[in-house]
Amino acid sequence: MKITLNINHQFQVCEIQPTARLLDTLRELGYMSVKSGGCKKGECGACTVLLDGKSVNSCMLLSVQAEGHLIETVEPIGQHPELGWRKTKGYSYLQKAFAESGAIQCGYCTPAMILAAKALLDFNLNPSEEEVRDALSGVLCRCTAYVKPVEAVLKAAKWLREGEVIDVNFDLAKKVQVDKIPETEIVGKSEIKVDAYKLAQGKPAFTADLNLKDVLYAKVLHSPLAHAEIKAIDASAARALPGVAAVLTWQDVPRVVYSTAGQSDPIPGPLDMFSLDHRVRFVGDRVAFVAAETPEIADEALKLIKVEYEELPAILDSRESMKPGAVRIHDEPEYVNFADSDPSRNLAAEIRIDIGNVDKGFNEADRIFEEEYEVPKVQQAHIEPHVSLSYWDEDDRLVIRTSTQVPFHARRMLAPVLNLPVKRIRVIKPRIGGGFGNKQEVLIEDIVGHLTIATGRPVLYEMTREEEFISSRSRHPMRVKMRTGVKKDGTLTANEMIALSDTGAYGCHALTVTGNTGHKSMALYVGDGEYRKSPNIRFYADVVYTNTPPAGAYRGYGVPQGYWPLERHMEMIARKMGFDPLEFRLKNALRSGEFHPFSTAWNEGREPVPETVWTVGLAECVKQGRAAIGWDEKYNNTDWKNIPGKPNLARGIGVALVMQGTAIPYLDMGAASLKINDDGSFNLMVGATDLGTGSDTVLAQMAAETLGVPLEDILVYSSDTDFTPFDKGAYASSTTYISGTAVAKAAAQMAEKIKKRAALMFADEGLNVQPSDLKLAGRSAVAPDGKRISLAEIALDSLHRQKQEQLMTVASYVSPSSPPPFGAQFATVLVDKETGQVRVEELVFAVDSGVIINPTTAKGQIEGGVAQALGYAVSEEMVYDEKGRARERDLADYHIFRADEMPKIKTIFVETYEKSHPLGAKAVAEIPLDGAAPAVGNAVLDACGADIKDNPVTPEKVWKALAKQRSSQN
Amino acid sequence: MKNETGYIRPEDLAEAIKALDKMEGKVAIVCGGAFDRSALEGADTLLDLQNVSVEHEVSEAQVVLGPNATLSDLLAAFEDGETVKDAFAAEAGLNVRNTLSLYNFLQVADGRSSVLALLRAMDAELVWQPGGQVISLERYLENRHVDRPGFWSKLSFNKPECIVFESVARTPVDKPIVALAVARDSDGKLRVATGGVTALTKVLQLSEGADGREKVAQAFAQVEDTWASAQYRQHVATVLFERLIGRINHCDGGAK
Repeated sequence: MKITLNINHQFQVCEIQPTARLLDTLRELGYMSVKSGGCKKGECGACTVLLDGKSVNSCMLLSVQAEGHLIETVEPIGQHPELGWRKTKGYSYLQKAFAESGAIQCGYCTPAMILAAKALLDFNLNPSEEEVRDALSGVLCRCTAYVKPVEAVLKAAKWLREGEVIDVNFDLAKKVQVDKIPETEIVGKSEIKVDAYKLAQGKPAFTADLNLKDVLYAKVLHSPLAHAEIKAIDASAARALPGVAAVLTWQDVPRVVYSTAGQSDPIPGPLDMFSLDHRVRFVGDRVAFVAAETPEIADEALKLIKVEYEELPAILDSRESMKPGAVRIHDEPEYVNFADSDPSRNLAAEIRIDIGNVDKGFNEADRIFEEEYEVPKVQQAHIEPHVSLSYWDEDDRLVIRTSTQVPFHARRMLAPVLNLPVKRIRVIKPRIGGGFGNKQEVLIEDIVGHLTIATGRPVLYEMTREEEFISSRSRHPMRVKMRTGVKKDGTLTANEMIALSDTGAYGCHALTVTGNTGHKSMALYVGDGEYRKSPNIRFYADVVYTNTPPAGAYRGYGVPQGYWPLERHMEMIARKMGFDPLEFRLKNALRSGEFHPFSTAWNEGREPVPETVWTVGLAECVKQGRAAIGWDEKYNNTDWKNIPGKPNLARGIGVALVMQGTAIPYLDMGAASLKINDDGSFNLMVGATDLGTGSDTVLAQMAAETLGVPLEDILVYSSDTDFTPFDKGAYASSTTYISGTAVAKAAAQMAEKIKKRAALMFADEGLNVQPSDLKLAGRSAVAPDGKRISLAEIALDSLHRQKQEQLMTVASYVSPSSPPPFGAQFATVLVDKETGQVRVEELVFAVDSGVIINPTTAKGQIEGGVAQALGYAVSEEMVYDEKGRARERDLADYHIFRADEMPKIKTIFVETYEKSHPLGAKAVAEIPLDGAAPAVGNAVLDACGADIKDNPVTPEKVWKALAKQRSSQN
Repeated sequence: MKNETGYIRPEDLAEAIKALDKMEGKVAIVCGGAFDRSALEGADTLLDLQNVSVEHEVSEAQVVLGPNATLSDLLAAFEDGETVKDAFAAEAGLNVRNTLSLYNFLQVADGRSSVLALLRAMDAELVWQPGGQVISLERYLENRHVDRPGFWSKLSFNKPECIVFESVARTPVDKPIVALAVARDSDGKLRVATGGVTALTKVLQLSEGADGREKVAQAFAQVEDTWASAQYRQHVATVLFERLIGRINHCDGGAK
């Protein structure tokens, strides 16, 4: 039917099906700022538009219903102030406020947030914070914890009331410098993200925003059974359905064993998966791929595929996996072992690390504490689902535009799977709407690749939210036994962690995630005195297969699983032995100049290389965090803990100390190239993958610092396997450190080239200077006497005038070290002792991440990470029934925190100067995931005595723990 | 090949009833955000009620809302009810409150809905079309998934003397695990709606002063799922009930 829609005050006639969603119609009309989010159930709010001035979910409205109403999207509300000879009114206050406040990380939900804010400010120019949070409550954000979006809306409101304040007043985190930090011009400043305005305008920057002609839509048939053999599959009816272009089953695609883990070669894990197989190993496993003219036809085709399964016994509990007689989940002959994997025992990886003499350490202890803990499977819940688009280009090369953290790994890994040489695959990574590790998986690129090969046509596949829950990846659930020896004076004599890690049906990241669990958590406490010189630490882990959806990489990469048991255990020891929890921890914690204990014993299956940790700001983190949370006023203070008139309520305070890693030493490499343009600006090409973290900005700041130019003169492009240099991708908290060092090196080389040419140009003017005498500053090469030649002149000289050459540099970097960031996470909670309900009131995180390159983006990383960790603390978990079917299939049941329920979050940067990085930086992205859950668990214990061994800390668990406590007291 | 689905947007209630009478095949009522997409599947005609407006009447004594009223409109009828506001916040973020019509809401809301618990506690009524028959919300909920031609055109409830709400959830606006809404009418009688579980549990009617603890606990006796055990729910329900009774005894007419 034909309807006329009033979109942004312009009438557009369109032909639609009456049941078409407004979301789909708007995107078909080119309003790509309106995102799907994959839910199409009104849960995520990424599809927000204004309907007659009110924020609504366009996924829930039919297009036909919107006829006769005003629909507003973000596209027209502001634009670049200078579009060539055409001047515009510029960006809107909201766009400016979002950009300047650092409210934009991945930017996928930004148009929705801006519209929601507009709806509020259009009738209320003086909103309270509560009103702003309510206005934003319909838009889920997994990146920001809503801190900066709320600030941005309040700032925009102020500007609208009082006029724009020119001086940008960023809400900066407190910064404390432990080491002397060299003065810098661009580095260390809260520069606006280089992609901020693009995202604030809702430009078509994401994978699905490319509107190709003749595109087919892919859908996947998923297994309804946890474990089964496909006896027969009949796709004839599906293939016969008009509009279906291809149906692929395991009989149609090459049988190539691989791993979806996006890691460097050789992948440190077993190869145990096929694009399609005749065996399904979890509810949600792949059975068939369909490509059709519309998503609806593809869905219809899925229903027509007839599959005959022979159901097999399924293992749903990791404790059953290695029992004698357990069904074998991987018996395919193509299986490729890595290290100690043993599919005959359902063992994807085995880790045995002994440091020092653990048994001797236990013998020397005055007391030994043993306890068991458990951590759940949780989902990354990035708001942009996995999405890939593939097509043949004019040279018969397969182009895959995909939302990936690892474009280069993807290209390398897809080549054998698709039976194409690497050189005939090009992977383009546009903007990514969040990944958090889940897009370190080469998860769906093969699907579109196979379907494009089968049909010759472009194919788009975007996972639904339900598919994200049942068939993507998640954080490994683990059962962890802790045993710790302690002397009367609080010295740890031995510390042991035994983990049973559940990798699900496939072993992607099995070894490395679980290795990190011990490597990054058990390294924190080495003991004191003599034990400090030779700590006694044991970490054993079995990583087993089960018939549940595979686990994989999730921000934190195994480390949060280590810190829940470790820091709950340390708290228990401190309380039982009467130690001050902070002093006890610091007494035993790793210190500057000591070996990272695990570096002497383990290196992800490679030869260990002992590494000294030089920058440890942990004590200062504790000092700063302690002051910020008011520890001394609250800990053991019954006046604070008790709520007058409400005997059922009690407050508590808790802490957890944490450390992470920075990149993977001796393995992962990043590279960067720089070239100068006619006007003295630079193209910075990086393979590094900005998935919303702000890494493009941070890398550009590093280049700008060295080249003496403002940030706007660095044009960053990331990433495209045809045009940018190799980079391992965005994982392991490595981009600032590894890729950043590559950028700094490339910039230093470029600076040298510029100086050499400038010296020649000065000589032409009769001034004899050595290149080393010159400085680059203010877009110029500056001589000691103050004379200067602009970079534009130098560029023109090099490109057009004499001894022409393209000034271009490329550099790469592999690190010999992995300097850990450290942090102290504090939490306060309010517990209802009658119902067990827990409310987190405040989270303070003091973190030593070395020199902070961009305080605003770094603070955003901390806030967003802490918010995800908050979910791990109290609400997030994935539960399966007795048939292996997921309980959580949407963002209603899998509740992630909303804008209107966040506790206070405070960030403090304790700056050390890490000399192994050219600007002193360490990692910031993953460490905020580690401490919030145990700090909350410890705070609940402090509040009411409920000692919860398994997160999340849900009301019933607290209630049961209190009941148990009462019964033991009676 | 099926013909394209038809679409009709009547100008008023009378026209809608007339149109419904003439329609053949499956009719899907469209009213506000289509939160139940399954209702559209296989429909021969979409009957869009967006112009079937009912004047919102919010007085001291009564609230009357049409099917197009959103959850935000319903919330606005309780301006002073702070705990009611909490229930709405737990129900959904602002987008959904703006998008979701009461019509759609009553089609899809289950026992975990805080707002449904409120409406049930207040003994809301609906006017069914065609025919204009007044039916209780309870009856509507029992039969809402039965395929029958028609729609409700008016939702009304008398404002209770007082209405209070409490729930327990993992986070402040997560779906509740246990929820209780208690309304007290001018005769002092209490209506207690329980929530926090997918299935709809019975609404309890209590005389004021009567000990409802047992009845409330009983309502959760068999209610065990992966979100919470029956034992926990029974305990918490009684705790919340006592708190609500304490509050309702000091109530100054929060619903009004």
